[in-house]
Amino acid sequence: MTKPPPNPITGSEDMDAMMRINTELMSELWILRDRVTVLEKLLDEKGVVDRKAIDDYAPEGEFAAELDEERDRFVRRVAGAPWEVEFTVESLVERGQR
Amino acid sequence: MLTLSQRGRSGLQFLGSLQPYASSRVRGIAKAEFEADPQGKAIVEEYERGGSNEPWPDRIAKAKAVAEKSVAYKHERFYQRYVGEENFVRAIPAIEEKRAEAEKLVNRPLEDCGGSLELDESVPIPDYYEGVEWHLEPGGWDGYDLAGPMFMAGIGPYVFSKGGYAAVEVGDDIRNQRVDVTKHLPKDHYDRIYEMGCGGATTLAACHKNYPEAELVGSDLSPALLKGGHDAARAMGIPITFKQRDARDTGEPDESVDAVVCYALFHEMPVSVCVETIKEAFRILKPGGDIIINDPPPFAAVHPFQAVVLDWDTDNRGEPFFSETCATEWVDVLKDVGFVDTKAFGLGSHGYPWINLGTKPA
Repeated sequence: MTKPPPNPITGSEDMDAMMRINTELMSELWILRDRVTVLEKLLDEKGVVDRKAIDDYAPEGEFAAELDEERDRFVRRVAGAPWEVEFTVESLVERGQR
Repeated sequence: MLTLSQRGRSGLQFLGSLQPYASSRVRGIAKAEFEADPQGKAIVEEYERGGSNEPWPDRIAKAKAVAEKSVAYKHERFYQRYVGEENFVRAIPAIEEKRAEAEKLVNRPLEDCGGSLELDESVPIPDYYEGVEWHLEPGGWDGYDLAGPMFMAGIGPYVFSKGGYAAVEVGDDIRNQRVDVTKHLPKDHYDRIYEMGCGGATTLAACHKNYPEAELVGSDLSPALLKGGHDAARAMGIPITFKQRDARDTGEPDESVDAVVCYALFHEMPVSVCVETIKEAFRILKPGGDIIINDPPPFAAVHPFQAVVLDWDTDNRGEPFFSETCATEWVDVLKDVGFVDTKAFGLGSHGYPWINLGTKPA
């Protein structure tokens, strides 16, 4: 088990937790922006869709459910950031296999 | 080369942007606040006059109390810890997504180029080593079976290569640093070079670049690192003999090597173990042979704020011996053990890499 720091890094456990949430959010935002940029470039290159079509799209049915599931994972990852501070090889392997 | 998923890649790239930003811009603000603080100013002036005679833990504690007044310092340290943890929290799942490909990479057939791998389960694991999760790596060096691909395809290119952690500055090329450091061995030619605590093959490959005729031998306690080093050496076509050994007991004959290299090893061991390691190097070196030690700089050689930054790793980045080794001047130990022509100097702007050299009397 990886040891947590002996004392809160910022001097306060509350502040460490808020910083974790904030930094995780910043990271998630970047991962998403990266993906969207890649996606738009590929779509554009292939002449599949233009930006207006993306702006106008309204999700429904199975795709809407897929987005629901992704969003739930997103919330667990962000809001759970301060509570997932202990990890082992096994838990990380399991996370990769989910 | 293994390609990570978009999440794996971009998540690690995020860390590779956050850490350099934190350690340059945010740390710069924290350092300026340290220097502007009246107590900080006094500490810096004392350092510039040559420092006090107080023990290092007391001096560090005073400087740390000043640094911790700064919100920028707290944020910068938070980001350091965050990236230190997330390297593995992100990279292991990213590799697991590609386990089949990673296993294929690890088990790919490699041509024999003259090197060898000698693993020895009877080598005792020292107490200081047992159970330590170095650099916050879960399970330590031998904890994850795909650590090689994890570093090669993930943490290495996306985070470590950007610098900005521990003693490594932003933009430092940690691979070429090894070439630059080993170039400082004083002779133009070596027949046999031995690296203690080699980990993988990176430093010995740097030795090969500088001394292509030299026979290369590396030892370490970690079977996983040695196996990774053996594979990397074969992939590069460099003949290297890897042996599982404690650096204090290499099993090499007396006076059998021309140069000993210790690269980023000493801060991973208690000072008493480092001293024994230097004595072992003296034993196996031929008369006239050279030793080069590279490690983070001693506290005495760096700005007091930088000393606080280095000391922080001890409790917060899986570096249990960082503080005690930074409080030690290896060049003095080299003299005590019997080396001559000793010298110590830094290559980088903040004293890293910090090189210690000595020669066994002829």
